[in-house]
Amino acid sequence: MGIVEGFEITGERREQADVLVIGSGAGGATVAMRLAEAGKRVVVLERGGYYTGLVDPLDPTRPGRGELDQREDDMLVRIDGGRGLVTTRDGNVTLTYGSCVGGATVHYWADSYRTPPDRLERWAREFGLDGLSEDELRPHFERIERDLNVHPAEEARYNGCNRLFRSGLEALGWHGEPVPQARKGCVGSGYCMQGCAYDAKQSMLVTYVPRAVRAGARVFADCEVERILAEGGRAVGAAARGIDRVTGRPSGARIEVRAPLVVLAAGGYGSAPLLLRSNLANSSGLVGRKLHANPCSMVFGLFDRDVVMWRDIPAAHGCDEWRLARRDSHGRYLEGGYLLMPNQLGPAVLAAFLPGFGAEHRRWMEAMPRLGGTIAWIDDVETGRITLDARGEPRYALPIAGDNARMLRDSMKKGALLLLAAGAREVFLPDPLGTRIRDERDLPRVDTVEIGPGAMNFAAPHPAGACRMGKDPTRSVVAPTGESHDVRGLYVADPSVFPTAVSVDPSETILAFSHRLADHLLAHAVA
Amino acid sequence: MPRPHAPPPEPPALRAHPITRRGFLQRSAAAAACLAGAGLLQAGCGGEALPLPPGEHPLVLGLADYGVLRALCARLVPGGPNHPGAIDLHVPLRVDRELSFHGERLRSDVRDALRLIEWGALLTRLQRFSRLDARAQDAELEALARSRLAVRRTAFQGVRFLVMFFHYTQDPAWAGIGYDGPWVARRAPAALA
Repeated sequence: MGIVEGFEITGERREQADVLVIGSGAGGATVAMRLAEAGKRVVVLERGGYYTGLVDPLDPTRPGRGELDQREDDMLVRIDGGRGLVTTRDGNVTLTYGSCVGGATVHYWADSYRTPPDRLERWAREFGLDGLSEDELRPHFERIERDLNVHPAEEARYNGCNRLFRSGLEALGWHGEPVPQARKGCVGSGYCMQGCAYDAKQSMLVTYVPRAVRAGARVFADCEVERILAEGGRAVGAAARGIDRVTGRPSGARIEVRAPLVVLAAGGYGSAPLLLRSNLANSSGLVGRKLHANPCSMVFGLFDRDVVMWRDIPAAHGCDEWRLARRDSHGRYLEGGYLLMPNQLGPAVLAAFLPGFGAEHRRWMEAMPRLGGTIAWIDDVETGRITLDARGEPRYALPIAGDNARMLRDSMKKGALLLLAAGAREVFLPDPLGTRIRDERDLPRVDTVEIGPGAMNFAAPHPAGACRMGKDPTRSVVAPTGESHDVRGLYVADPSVFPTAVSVDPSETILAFSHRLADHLLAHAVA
Repeated sequence: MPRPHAPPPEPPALRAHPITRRGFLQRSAAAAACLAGAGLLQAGCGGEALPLPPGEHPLVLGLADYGVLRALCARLVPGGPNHPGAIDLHVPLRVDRELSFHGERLRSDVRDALRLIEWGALLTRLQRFSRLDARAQDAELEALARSRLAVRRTAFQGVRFLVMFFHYTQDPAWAGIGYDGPWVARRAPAALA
């Protein structure tokens, strides 16, 4: 049956399944694959479209449709949620998330970290997450790493920016190492963020989704779930509408899926709004609250020779020296609290972040080959919130304040130091003034630069917490099994359930939680 | 090999403007006043527009708002002897077409931003932005970028983001910036084929 796309769906359609999975990213695809391979009837509803590169993911002996065409505008609108233009209410943070078959794994950088043990211990200690220790997750991590060919980035795939980043680390004595990569046969085109045209990046689009389909799962693309259906305190399915991919508007088609188990995996920005619209699972009042998102700072360096940051692996080498925030004896923030990585941007997004306009901006663009940069995902502690407006559309708030702001400023300082240590002639910030840092004496400028709305924009690619997991139903939305405290048969399988940010790229954590959930469903829940 | 391009000039030193709660409220009130004022001016003055080139028909923006966007594009990415500007690459139409895919929230944000830029100039330069000469327009854009009012900065940066993105995503814009472009051919998705 393959994957049914929106333009193939007309009128009203009803489906029956053992399990309905909402979303086909890391969370949803994993559960769908595992249950389908166990012989269960699985239906997947995906809001976004189905796009392929040079190879057909469902049959690698056949050519693909070539829609992953490496153009920034084409790919932003095809694979990114909200066509890449969703921000918080104040415009200070851009929400980066996937909306296509394969979800955010289609645009992710393939960084594949296991959940740090200190984070698992914290979740167990503060939120009662049993069964999620390092030892208990290890078999899942090992399986994922086999399935996705996770391995340290090879030297041959380091680009100029990665090599400079590593030399800066070595000069400063900060710890770093090759970033584990989920890739097979990478050709180094550098279009990871636009979706790999070569199926080399081991996204869900080319791994777990095809396995799920081959095992009999039915995947419906371009289908937006409007509400989850529940009867008598139990989930029974969902109602969705077809989306016309040409206009982005409802096509008129409708699909209702009835299933005794519903696995919600609409993503860290998508699952909470769906629960709020469905008026379900919110006895704690916490749905949409406690939102983390890893907002990230960027710093650019101008070098005397070509760097060419747009080719090869985006972040082949990472710095974990500052992963955990350092605090004084009173708990006051001192420094750190982020992963520091090399950056990779194409010309269109780079142009949007470079300072100035007119002739000044043009000079920066003409220097593009000599630009390198760092990006830092902060382990945000000040939480935001997802609400619905009068039309039922989600609105997002994320504070760039308090320790979040302190971490962002500190990460820009460390990024600047690193780039200078790597030999940058000068470093500049992406604020309207293009604040320059030529040596350590300029670092205090970072303390006073305006970082509020209209001055800087922080992409936030790793949402977590809006349907958080915990033992106590008054302090969490789902139980440690992943099942809603309120609605039987309703599970959440995406980063919404993480009680806090993960402090590293969350993809492998999402996958591991979903494998664990699949084990639970097969052992206890699914008929 | 080092390239001959000189880095841009050093910007003036930045002053710190810590945001207090009271300051935030003042800014919010000022923002609301600015937006309301811009909207009233647009309505009261009819927002008559500069004539558009033949065949240029926006889908979403009214002619007055579109004219402001066009004026902004001309200053944000002016063309040069060896590279096209945003007007040459039809960026105003591209931005307008993108808005047609979005809901009313983003559309009204962009309209508000354009009106704030257009009519805000009346307060500072006694003329609407689109009627200023190029030098005065550049000065007004500098002032917007450095404004202490978040709403003015946000209006400018929001439009600037769209214009820069939709200019530099186009193949002809890569002339002279050293970017060698994608390795595969452009392809329309199956639903559009």
